[in-house]
Amino acid sequence: MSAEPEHAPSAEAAFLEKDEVRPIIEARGLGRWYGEVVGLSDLTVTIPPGITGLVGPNGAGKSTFMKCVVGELRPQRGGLRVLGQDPFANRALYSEMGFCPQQDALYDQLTAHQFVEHLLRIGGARRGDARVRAEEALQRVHLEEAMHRRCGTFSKGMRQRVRIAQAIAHSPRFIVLDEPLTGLDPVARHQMRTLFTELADQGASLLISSHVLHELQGLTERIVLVHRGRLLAQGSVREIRDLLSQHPRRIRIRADRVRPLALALSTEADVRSARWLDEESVLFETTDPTAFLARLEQLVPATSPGLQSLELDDEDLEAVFDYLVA
Amino acid sequence: MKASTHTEVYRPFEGQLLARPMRPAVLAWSGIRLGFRKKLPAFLLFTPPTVNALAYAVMVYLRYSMAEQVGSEGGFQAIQAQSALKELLGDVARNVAQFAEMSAFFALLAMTWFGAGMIADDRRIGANLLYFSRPVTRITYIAGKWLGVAFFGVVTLLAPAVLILLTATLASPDWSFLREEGAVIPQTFTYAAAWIAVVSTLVLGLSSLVQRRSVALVLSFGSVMVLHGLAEGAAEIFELPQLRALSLFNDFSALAAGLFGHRDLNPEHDVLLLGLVAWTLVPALLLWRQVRKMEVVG
Repeated sequence: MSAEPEHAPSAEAAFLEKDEVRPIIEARGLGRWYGEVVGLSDLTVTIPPGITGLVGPNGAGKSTFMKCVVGELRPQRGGLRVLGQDPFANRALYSEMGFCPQQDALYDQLTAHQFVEHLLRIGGARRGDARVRAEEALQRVHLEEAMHRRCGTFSKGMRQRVRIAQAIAHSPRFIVLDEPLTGLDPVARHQMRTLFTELADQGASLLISSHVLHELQGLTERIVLVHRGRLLAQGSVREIRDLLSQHPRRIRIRADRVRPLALALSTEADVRSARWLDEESVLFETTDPTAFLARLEQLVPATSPGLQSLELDDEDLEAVFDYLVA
Repeated sequence: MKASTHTEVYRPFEGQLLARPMRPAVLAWSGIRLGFRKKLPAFLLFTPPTVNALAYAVMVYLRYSMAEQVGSEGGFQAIQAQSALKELLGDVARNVAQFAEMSAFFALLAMTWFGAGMIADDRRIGANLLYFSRPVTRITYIAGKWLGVAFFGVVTLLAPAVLILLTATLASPDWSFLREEGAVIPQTFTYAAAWIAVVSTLVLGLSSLVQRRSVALVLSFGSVMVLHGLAEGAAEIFELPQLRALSLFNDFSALAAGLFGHRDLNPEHDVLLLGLVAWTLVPALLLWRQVRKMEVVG
């Protein structure tokens, strides 16, 4: 009997397996100041392959972190590894990365196709390859009809798509997208979200920043929250919420006769507050949602409130973020 | 239809990247392409040096063809006529030197107009973020932009000079131009190359300081013209001819005198040449420092 497996793992499978273990980004104690303004302050984070959302309010340090990741900003403190390598002046690494900055960065006088082709050629692609790949990338961002128009004639959303196209055109392993959904209409936003998922399915890792939190929900469960240059939390929305067990969770109840029900629920110790939203709605804050819901189950038949809806606000990323930065 | 089938069109990259891609050339080409997008400035800036070059080329052609015609008649009168023609049209070396000095101004106009936005615009729109997140080094970036500006100098100064030299070579009987005045060819190339190099560096250095093309344009052209005026004025007022070295035109005039030898060397020749070095080094250092900041903010 041979002990060898029927199918020896291919080199690619071995690589992928190894790649899964190795984080895409490892940052240790990153610090960066702009004069007296803090960009990053002792940021330590490890980001695995796949799609990761980088969330924080304006000025939180998202763009600073991303510029450090693509090697355009040198941290004054700490260490950073991207794809296992130092990102500064590492030309080989840059070939494996795509970057979509927040800044406009487009030449108005060039067509979208010329612009993406130009950047591909700078990356080292042959003229013919660059032409084909620029076309493919622009098709992927749904600019096939407009790719031969000058960028100067484009709307904000179309310009955003060109920026995304140039970041993905050379099929990088790791794509850094700084607020890529800003300025896009809902249809385009959906198309881009689909594109990001496709890219991840094809093996690319993506770091996507946003200050509009719900943009990232559904796209990834893995969130890195930064605020004032520091890591606030990391994990799935639920995991982050679980970390905040000491923080009350919000439950919104809407009913025809909500007042008696609210009075009955408010008497328990786990209820921190009850706020009337209107005649039919009340918002509770409870430290023990399980007990609260069990009690509600008992009270509903007794008070017959005509329950219309029950919502746990805290499942929403926005609420988690509000809790964290408040 | 296309939108729904885009995933079928897409394929992961399987081509090979060039081992030694000509990145500066690609960067330069995009700068040149952007420059030629507007036709009117190109027309206005390239017409004067072209007309100037054609006029000088005709003059050189006439000098040889008429001299040959007159000379073929023989006799004392023919020799006299030949000398008169030479006196009237000048020797080719002098023509080329005159042309080069005159066209240098047109080259300055074209190079500042097309080059002023090369780095300023990149800074304004943030294009440097795209370049430096790719395998582009500081040297590659500077070389690409520099070649882009230099191209406009080549078109307005060197190429027309080559046209005149070519006319002289082909029109001269028995290649007499090459045999007797051939030295003017390397002299012309040296002069044009120096002008193009200095002005390209100056324009890019000043372009890297600001984020608006218009400001860079005013800075580049203004610095040359204002310093020329100041240098002349200060040299007269303080009776210090060395101050003329502050003017780029004076410095190049000294270079031309040294190279072509068509007029006496200025007594302040060495100081003027030092001025030329300063005109090159100061913008070069500025350019290096600014692009370094654009590449990685340390």
